[in-house]
Amino acid sequence: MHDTSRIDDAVLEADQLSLFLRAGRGTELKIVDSVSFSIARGEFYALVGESGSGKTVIARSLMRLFPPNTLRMEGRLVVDGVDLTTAPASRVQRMRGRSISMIFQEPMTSLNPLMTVERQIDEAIAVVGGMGRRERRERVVELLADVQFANPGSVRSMYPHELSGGMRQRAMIAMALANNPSLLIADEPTTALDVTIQEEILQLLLRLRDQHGLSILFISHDLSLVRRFADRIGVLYGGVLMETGPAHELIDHPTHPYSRALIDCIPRRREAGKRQAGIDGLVPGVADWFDGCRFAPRCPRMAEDCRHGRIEMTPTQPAQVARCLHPL
Amino acid sequence: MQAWRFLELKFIVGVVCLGSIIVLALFGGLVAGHDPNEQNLLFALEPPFGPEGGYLLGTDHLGRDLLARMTSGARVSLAIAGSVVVLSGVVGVLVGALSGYLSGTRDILIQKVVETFWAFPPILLAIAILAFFGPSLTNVIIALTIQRWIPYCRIARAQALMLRSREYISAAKIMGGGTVWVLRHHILPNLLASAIIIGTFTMATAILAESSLSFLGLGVPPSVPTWGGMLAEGRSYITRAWWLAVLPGLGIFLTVLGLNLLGDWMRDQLDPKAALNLS
Amino acid sequence: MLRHIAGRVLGAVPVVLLVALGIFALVRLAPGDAASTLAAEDATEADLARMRAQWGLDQPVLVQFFYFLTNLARLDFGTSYRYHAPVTELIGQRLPATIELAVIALLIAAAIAVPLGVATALRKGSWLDGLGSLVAVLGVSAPSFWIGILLVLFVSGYLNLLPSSGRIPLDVPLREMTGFVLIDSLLQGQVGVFRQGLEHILLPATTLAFGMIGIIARISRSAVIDVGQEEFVVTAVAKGLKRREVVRNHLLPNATVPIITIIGLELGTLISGSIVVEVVFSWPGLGSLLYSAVTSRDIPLTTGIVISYTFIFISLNVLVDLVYVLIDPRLRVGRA
Repeated sequence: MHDTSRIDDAVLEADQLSLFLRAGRGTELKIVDSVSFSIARGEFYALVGESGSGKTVIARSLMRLFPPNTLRMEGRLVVDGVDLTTAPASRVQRMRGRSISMIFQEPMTSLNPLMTVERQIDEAIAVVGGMGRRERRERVVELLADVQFANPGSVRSMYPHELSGGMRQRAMIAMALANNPSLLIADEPTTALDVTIQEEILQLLLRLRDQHGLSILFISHDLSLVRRFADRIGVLYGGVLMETGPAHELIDHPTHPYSRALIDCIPRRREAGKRQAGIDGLVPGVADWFDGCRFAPRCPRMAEDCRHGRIEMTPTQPAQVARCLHPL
Repeated sequence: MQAWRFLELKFIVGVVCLGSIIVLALFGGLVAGHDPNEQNLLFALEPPFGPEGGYLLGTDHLGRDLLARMTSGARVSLAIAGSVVVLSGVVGVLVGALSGYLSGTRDILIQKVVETFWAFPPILLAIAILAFFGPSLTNVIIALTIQRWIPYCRIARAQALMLRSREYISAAKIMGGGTVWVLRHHILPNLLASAIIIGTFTMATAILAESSLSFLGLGVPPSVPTWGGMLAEGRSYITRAWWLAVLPGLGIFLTVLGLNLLGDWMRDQLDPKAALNLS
Repeated sequence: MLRHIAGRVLGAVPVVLLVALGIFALVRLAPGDAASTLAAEDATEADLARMRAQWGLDQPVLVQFFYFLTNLARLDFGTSYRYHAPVTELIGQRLPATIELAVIALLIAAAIAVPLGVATALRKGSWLDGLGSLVAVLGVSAPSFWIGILLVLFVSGYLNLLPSSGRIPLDVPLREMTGFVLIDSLLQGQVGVFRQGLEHILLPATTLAFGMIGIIARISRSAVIDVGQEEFVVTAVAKGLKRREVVRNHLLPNATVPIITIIGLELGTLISGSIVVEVVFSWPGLGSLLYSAVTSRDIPLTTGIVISYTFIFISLNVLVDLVYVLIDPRLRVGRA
C-alpha cells in the first residue's frame, strides 16, 4: 500500500520529538522521549498505546493545544512544511482547522452544549473567511451530507444533547473537515461509542480519506480495532515509540516483545468485550524515568544490557523499525 | 514560583494583622492608662497623638480614651467570636456525627432541621433572637452560633457516613469502645484540619456579625465598649473627628482580614493544587 | 420542565413550614406572657383579650400554631403599636425601597465583579489575578457599615458630592405609582427627580455592593476556569478560532449559568447586608423599619418583618433555580 521510505511525500514528520511538562518551580517532567514517525498523504496511521503512554500528549502537541508555558517541545515536528516546535503561536493558530484538524474521544463534551450544530460548523468555516453567509450555510449542509447525515437540513438546527453519540461524532468530523485539512487527528474517537457505531465512524473516516486524500493520525489503545483499518501502526509505551511499521507486517511479525505482548492480548474472536489477561506489571509512570529500555522490567526477553544506556530505533524488518536490543 | 510567593505573603500579612489586634487586646489597656468608660468632657474629641491629655488614639465625644475603648472592643470581639467558634464546633460535630451515625429516617429528619436553619438569611435570625430575648453576652453568643454550627455538622456527618460503611468501626464498637470512643478516635482526628479552617473563616464572619449587631445596638450591653457600638455612637461626629469613624472599623477590618488570609493560607497548604489554581 | 419547576416549588414547602414553626417557637419562648409580648406595652386589658383571641393564645400550643399559620397565610401580622398601623401595610410601604436598593447594588456589584472575575481567570497567575484576589479578600473583610460611614465621611462630608441619607428630598413632589423612585420619576417624566433619586441611592448601593464584589469576582473566576477546562473549549481552539473568539463564543456563554446561580445565591447576603446599610444611610426600607421595630420592642412588627425577609429569601433561592432551568437548553427541552 504505502511505502514507509516515501518520506518526501510526508504530511507529518516527527523527528526525535521529546515533550517536557513544566511542573512549576523550574522543574520539568519528560513525558515523551525521542519519538520519530511520519505520515504520508492519504495515509491512515495509528498510534497505539496503553493509557499513560503519551499518545494523547503527542496528538495534542501537534496542534499545540496546551496552555502556554506548560509544555516544552524538543526535536522536530513538521506538518505541511512548518516546524511546530519553533513556529510562533500566531502561525500555529492559523494552521489549526486549516492544515490540521482534530476530533476527540468524548463527542458529548467536545461540542459546545449551548450552540446549534450549524453555528459550530459555521464557525469553523468562517475561520478562513471569504465566504458569504449564504455560501457558508450551503457548505454546512454539504459537510453534514458528507458525513452521511440523512437529513442535514434538520440536524443543523439541533443542539448537541439532541444528537446520539455517533451523530455527535459525525458532527465533529464535519466540523473538522470544514476547511479541507491535510491531516486529521482522531484522539480515540470511537472509545466512547457502541461497537456498531465504532465501525460506522471508522468506515466513514476511511471513505473521507479516499475522497479527500486526507491523512489520518488515529490515536487508540485498541490494537484489535486499528489493525483492520490502519495502513501503518506505531506502538507507544511509557512515552517511547517502541516499534513502527506497516499494519499487517507489524501484526503478523511483531519484532518488539512489547508489540508481541499487545498482540497476544487481542482476543482470537471478537467476543463482546472479553479479553485475555493483560501483561504482568505496570506501565512506568512519567515521573520515574529510568535508564535502558522502559519495557525491560516486564519483558520476558530482558537481558542485562537492556538495563543500561540508550536504545536506538533499528530496522528489524524491511519496513519495520523497533527500539529493542533483542528483537524477535 | 509566583504563586508560592503570594502564598507566603498571605501568611505574613495575616499574622501581622491578627497579631496586632491580639497585642492590642492584651496590652492596649496598660498603655492607655484610662478606664474605657472614664469620661473627661474637657478633652472631648481629642485627635490621635493630640498634644493634650496624653490620649494616644484620641478621645470620643464624651472625652473617653479611644485606645482603652479599642482594647475593650478587641477583647469583646475576640472573646465572643472565639466562644462562637468553639460552641459551633462542638454542637456541629456532635449533631453531624450523630446524624451520620444514626442514618436512615432519623438522619433525614435531622438534616431537614439543619436545612431550616439555613433557610434564614444570615444575621436576620440573630437579630430576631436578640430582639425577642433581649441583648446579653450569652444571647449574642447563642444568636451567632445558631447558623454557624452547620458547616461543622456537614463535614462531621459526611465523615460519620463514610466511617459507618467501613468495617473497622463496627469492630471498634464490638470491642466495647462505644460511640464516644468512635467519635474521639475515628471522627475527630479526621476532621481536625478542615475544622480548623472552617473555624478560622467562622471566626471572621462571627466578628463581622457581632460588630453589626453591636452597631445596631443588639450586641452586648452598651456599658461594655465594642467596635460596632463605637462606630454607632461616633457616627454623628465623624465630620469633626475622623478617627471615630476610622479606628473602630479598622479594628474590625484588620481582625477579619487577618483571619481570612490565614484561613486562605491554611486551605492552600492542605491543597497545594487548589492554591496554584487560585493564585 | 414544568415538572422540574413544580418539584422545586413544592420542595420548598416543608422548609417554609419549618421556618414558620421556628419563628413561632421564638415568639412563644420569648420571656413574658405571649399576649403582652405581642401587644403594645400600654395595651389595655381589652387589647390583650383581643390579642389572645386573634392568636388563639388561650388554646393548646398546637392550636396556637394553627392560628399562627392562618394569620400568616392571610398575611396578617397584627398591628404595630409604634406606628399604630397594620404590619402588612407598613411592610408593603417599605419593601419597594429595599428592593430598589438591592437591585441597584446587585447591578453595581455584577458590573464590576463579573468582568474582574473573567479577566483574572483569563490571566490566571498574572499580577492582575493577584490584584483580583486581593480585592476579593479586602471586600469580604471590611464591614459594610464601616465602608458606608467612610463613604459618608469622604464623599458626602469632605467632597460634598452626594447626599448621605434618605431616598429623595422630602420637599420633592413625586406621586407614588410603583413605589420605586427611579421608575416612578421616569414614568412621570421628572428627570430631575430621577437624578436626585440616583444620587441618593448611589452611596448606599455602592456600600452594599462592596462586600459582594469580592465574592462574585471569585466565583466568576472559578466558573470561567472550570469552563476553560471543558473539552469543547479545546475543540474551539482546535478549530482555529482566535483566543478572543473562543472566549466570547464558547467560554463566556457557558460560564454564565454558574455565575448567575452564584449571584442569585448572594441575594441572601444582599438582604442581610441591606439591614445595616439602610440604618447607616437612613434608607426608608424594610431594614430600617426592622431596626426601629427592634429598638422600640415592637414585637408584631419585628415578627412580620423577620417572616417577610425569610420568605423573600426562600423564594429568591427557588427563583434562581428556575432561572437556571431557563438558561440552559439541556434543561429547557425537558430532560430535567
